Amino acid sequence: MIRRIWAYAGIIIALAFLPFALFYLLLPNYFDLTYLVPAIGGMLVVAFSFSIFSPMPEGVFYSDLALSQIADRLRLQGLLVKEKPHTVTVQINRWVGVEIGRGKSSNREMRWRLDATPSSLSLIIFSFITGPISFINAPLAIYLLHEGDRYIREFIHPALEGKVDKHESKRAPIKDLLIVGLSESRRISWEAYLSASSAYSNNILIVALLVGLCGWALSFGYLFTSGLFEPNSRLALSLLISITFAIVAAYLVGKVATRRLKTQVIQIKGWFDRLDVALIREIHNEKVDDGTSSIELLFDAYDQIPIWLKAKGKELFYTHPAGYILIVYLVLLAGMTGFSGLVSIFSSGLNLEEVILILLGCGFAFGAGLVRRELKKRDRADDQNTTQEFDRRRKTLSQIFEQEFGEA
Amino acid sequence: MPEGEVMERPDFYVLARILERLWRENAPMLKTRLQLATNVNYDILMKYLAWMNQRGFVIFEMNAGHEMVVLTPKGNEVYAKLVRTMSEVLRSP
Repeated sequence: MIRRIWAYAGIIIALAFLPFALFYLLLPNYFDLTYLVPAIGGMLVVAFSFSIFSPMPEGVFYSDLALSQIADRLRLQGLLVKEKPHTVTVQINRWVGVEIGRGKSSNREMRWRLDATPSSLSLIIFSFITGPISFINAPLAIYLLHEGDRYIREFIHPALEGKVDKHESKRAPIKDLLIVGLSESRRISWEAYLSASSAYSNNILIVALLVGLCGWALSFGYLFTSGLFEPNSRLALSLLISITFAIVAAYLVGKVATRRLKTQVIQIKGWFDRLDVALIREIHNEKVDDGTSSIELLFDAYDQIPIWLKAKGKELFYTHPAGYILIVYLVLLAGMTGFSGLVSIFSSGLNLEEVILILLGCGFAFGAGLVRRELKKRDRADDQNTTQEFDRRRKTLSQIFEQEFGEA
Repeated sequence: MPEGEVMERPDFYVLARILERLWRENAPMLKTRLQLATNVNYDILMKYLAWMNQRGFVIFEMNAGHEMVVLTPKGNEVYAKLVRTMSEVLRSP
């Protein structure tokens, strides 16, 4: 599940388009400015759709306890649910998520807004980068908003209306607690799996891009300085060489990374599948007599959680989606300005304009590096807090076991 | 291992598995059926049942010539406490 902050990613991108637009205004020969219109329009609709809060239907009021009970009810439906202070995010399906939380105008008001899933966020970023087809972000965002609204009205509201207990003293039945435990473990393993698999493919992509870029720069430089081939075919030929380099590098790195990273990805996915099967079994009340035990699975999952949390913290796309988009944007700008500068140097020689372009590219790359460093620093602090919290819980658990089972 | 011998240090995993199976059954259960359902070696199961009986988690009763295992209210409460604790421990850190 994507964190709440990501909803503002669209606004950040829309604002970040300002220097991008100015850049192309200064260099009108490279691209037509109309290229930006669908991208900006689409992203503004995305930003709007993911930022607006809507009131929950009548009859559901906010309290921390009510919110916690809502989270548990949604877990009992087998949905991926994440609780944070004053908010609950739930993934309805592969594309749509909603965030339910306290309204600002009144302490008792409860409201919701659209939340992205990894799939919908990836699609939005992908279509944004492609440029000309990025207008599809507008109907996509409206569709997601419509689906979120439909789910709230047709499924969540009827499930909650009049059923929120007012007193905590009413203990949840054991089965419900088992489902909550399995659901939480499944969610953490799912987030770890997404993050680990993304880190695996990203590593391959980054190496392929770097090798491709180096291959392009070397071949482009060599073809221009050696005078081989027609000037018009040098760019195309160097691009072909760089793509070949990138594909070979991706294949080789993929082979090496498979041995290291993919093993972890497969292991985490295995855990997710086990928890998913157990959760479905508990929800549907299926009986098994093969030694399978949900509580034992929870013990196992508890042992795995430090590994999952570590895997989850590796990928900025999941820990800081808005920051990740900013980094992608800065890298994109760095690449484009650097590329423009190098092409100009090779075609018309070195002068002030090219130097400025190259420096600008380096500046964007440096900026991306700074943002990444800051976000990683925050992740490390979060990791430390989470580890301390789990150590505390581990001690509490040991104390309870000692108390219940004596010498065990 | 002779039937009824009490072990010194039980494994939480096995203990929880037995408690869970008895809780799910919600009725007296044959020892052999419990052994199949928990997938625990018979002799080891006997050690665990003796240990659990000593602490009042289970009792044994005869039914048509067969010895049945029954989860007591205390055993049920211990299992509930285990599940509740794990559920709370696993909530969003």
